[in-house]
Amino acid sequence: MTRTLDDLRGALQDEADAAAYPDVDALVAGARRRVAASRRRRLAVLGAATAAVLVVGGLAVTRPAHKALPQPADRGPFTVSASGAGFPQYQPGMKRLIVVDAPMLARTNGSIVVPTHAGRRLVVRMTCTQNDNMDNVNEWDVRMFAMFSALGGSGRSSCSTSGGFYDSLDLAIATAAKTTVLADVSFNQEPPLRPDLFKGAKIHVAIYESIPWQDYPLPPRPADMNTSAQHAWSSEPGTVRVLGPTTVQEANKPLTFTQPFDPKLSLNLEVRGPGRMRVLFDGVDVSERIGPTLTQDRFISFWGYDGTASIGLPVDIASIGASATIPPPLKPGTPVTVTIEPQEFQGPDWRIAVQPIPPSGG
Amino acid sequence: MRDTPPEGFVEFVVARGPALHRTAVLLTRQEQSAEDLVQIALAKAWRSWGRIDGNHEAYVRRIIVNEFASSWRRRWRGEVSTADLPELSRDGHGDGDHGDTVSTRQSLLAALVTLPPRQRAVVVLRFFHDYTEAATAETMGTSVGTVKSQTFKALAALRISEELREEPTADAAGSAREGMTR
Repeated sequence: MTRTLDDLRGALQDEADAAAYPDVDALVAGARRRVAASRRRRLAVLGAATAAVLVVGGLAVTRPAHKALPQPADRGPFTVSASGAGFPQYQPGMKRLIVVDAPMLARTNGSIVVPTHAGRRLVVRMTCTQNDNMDNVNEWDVRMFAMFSALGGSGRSSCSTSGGFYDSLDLAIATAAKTTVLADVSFNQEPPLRPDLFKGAKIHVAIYESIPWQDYPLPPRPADMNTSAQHAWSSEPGTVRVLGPTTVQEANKPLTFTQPFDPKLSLNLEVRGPGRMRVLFDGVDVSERIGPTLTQDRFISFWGYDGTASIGLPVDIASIGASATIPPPLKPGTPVTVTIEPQEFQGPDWRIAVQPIPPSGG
Repeated sequence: MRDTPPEGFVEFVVARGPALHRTAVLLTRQEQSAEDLVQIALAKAWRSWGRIDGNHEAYVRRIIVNEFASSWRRRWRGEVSTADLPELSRDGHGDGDHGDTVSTRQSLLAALVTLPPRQRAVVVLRFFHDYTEAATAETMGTSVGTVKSQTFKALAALRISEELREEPTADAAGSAREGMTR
C-alpha cells in the first residue's frame, strides 16, 4: 500500500482530533507552579555552584588544531570553570571532561579542546546564570541561538529551565585523543530589550564523554527496592504476560521465550536499576538498534535507581531495516524467539511485559 | 514572587490552549506529556508576556516546538521509541478502502513516534499546521535548507511514496550532514 501526504495529513488530523480537550485551569496552574519551581531551582543551582570547588585537571582550552573547521579561530571568551558550575561529575554512563564559563555577550563563540577517547560519545550541557536574577532566563531562551558542533555533528542547546541529564545535547563520537568543540552562542537583539538582560550573565558549558561500564560509579541498591512505591512495577491493563527474574540469583541469567507476533502487542522492557543487557530476536542482536542514548558498548545500559525505564519493542523489530533489505513483515501468529542476556544487575530489577500497544494520543 | 498571571495570560490560555495542546499531542503522542510540554512553554511565556510583540500563539508554539526538539527526552516511565518503524502488513487487516485508510493512518502514527524530535516537529509544522518551509525554519530557528532536508528524511522514514516527495537540493543535503545528531 502506498502512503501519501494526504494519508499523513489525515493521520495527523485524526490524532489531533482524538486528543482529549485540555483542562485550561490545569494549564494555567501548571504554568504558575513551574514559574515558581524554576525560580527556586535556579537559586539552588547558584548556591551549589558557589559552594563547590572542583579541580579540572589536565584539561585546557586551547587554539583549535582542525583547520577545516569553519570557525572560530580561538577559544574566545571561554575559560575553564574552577567551580564546575553545578554540573555533576558523572551523568548516566558519562563522565564530565570539562566545564567552561563565558560572559553572555551578543555573540559568544570559541573553541573548546578536550582530551577524549576514540569511539566514545560526546555530549554537551549548558546552563546560564545571572547572579540572583532569574527573571531573564526565559527571555534568554527565546532570544538565544546556541549551536555546538564537533566532528561533523552539531546541535542546538538553550538555557533550559528543566535542567539535568535529559537536556544533554548528543554531539558526536570522538575519533582521536583530542576533540575540538565549537561553541557559537548569539542572541536576537531586537527591541524591546530589557536593559539588564545580559548584565552579569554567564554561560556555562560542560562536555561529557561516555565511559566503559566498569569505570562508572554505580549507586548501591536501595534497601527498600521491594517495598518502596518508587520502585514498584507498574501494572498496565491488558498485560498478556510478564517474564523476568524474581531473585538476585536469577538477575543475570539469560531468559529465552517465544512470543507469537501480534501487531497489536509490544514487548515492554522495564528496568528499575543499573545493569546492562543484550536483546535478541530469533538470534539477531537488536541491542544497538534501540538508540544511541540507551545503548553503550553494544549493550542496552541502565545506570541508576532513580526511576523505571520503559522501552517498547515491536515484536518484529528484527525484520525491519533499510527499505532495500527488509524481509516481508511477520504474519500474525509467527513465533518469535526472544532472548534477554542480562549482566551486572544487582537484583531482580528488570522484566519483560507483553502488553497492548497504547492507542494513539493516549 | 509573581503568583498572579500577567494580564491577558489566562484569556489567552482559554482561547488558544487547546490549539497549542493539539500541537503538543502530535509531538509527544502522550497526552500527559503534551500537557507538561504546554505548561513548560506557558511558564516560559509567562515571564516574557509583557514583552511579546505581536502573535502570542506563534510565540508559545515556537517555545513548544523548540523545547520538544532541543531537549525533550525519553522520560522515566514514558514512551521510548525504537529506531525503526513497523512496516505495513502486506496481508491487509482492513475492510476495503476504509480499512486500508485506517490501517495506513495508524501505521503512519506509529511510525511518527520513531522519528527524531526535530524531524517530528518538522512534520507537524509542515503537514498539520501547513507552515511554509520558511515559516517552519523561523519557528525552529534553523535554515530553510535544513527544514527541506529534515522533511525529506522524515518522509523517507515514514515511507511516503517517493514520487510525492521532493528531492533535497544540494544545499539541503549539505545542511542535513551538518544537522542535528540526536
